[in-house]
Amino acid sequence: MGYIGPVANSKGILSTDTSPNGAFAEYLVIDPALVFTLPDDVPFEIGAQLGVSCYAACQALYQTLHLPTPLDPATEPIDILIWAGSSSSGHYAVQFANLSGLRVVSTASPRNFDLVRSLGAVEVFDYADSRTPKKIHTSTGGKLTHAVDCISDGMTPAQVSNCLSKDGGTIVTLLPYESRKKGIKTELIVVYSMWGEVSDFCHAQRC
Amino acid sequence: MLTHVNAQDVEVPMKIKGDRSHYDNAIFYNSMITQLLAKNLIKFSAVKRIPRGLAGVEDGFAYMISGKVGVLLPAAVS
Repeated sequence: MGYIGPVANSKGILSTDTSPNGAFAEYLVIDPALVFTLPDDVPFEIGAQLGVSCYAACQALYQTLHLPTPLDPATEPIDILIWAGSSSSGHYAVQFANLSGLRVVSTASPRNFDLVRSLGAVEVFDYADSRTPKKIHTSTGGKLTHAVDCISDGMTPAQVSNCLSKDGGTIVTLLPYESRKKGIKTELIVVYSMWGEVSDFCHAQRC
Repeated sequence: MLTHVNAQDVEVPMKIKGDRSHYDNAIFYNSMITQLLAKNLIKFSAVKRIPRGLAGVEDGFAYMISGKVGVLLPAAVS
């Protein structure tokens, strides 16, 4: 039996104020409430990917969007857009959304369409196609109000915003931005908030 | 420091407000993830194991810089 927490992620980051610390440590000190159990047949090399991505998916879908969970799934399908379903976060957001009984629409490059479908998306569109926001808007009957932007950079703020209903909606973002489209709210998630304490978050590429 | 994301001002390091409910949520998420894993309901991404521990970090960065990350691997751990 192994235990994986947020430390065992590809970024190797422990809570910022935690000591002892070490991105490549073999043994780690962590709050036992903040780990999950890794089955015996799942090696640590596989388990290492789960930490941040699974927590991000949960914070996006359940903490922020207040959607049903896999333990009490939706009885009526609710549309949700997971932008970038083949990204690290998207890979799990699509799965958790599907397990929650949601109707998942996603984007990817064409070579990853089958992968994202296999994770539970009912429709997958080319992220680089300028017509994709309009296609998603149509696919969801112009009523889409929930989205998770797993890129949150470059063109995606505009692309995701244009998928949503004209009446507005909420986009969960992994980097901070505000939608320029009226009525659309953005909510940033930071996995490290799970410690429940004040902390400093610094985007690695920009600090 | 003031920086820009999507042409919008962002102050870094960014102060994350503590929220006890996030901690309580995380306990629930861990329980749920444990259950989903036990039922084999989670599909993993393919990973590539870089050998030689810390000595392999340089090789790992070179592999990423080469643009090969994101290419589907034939086995879960290769």
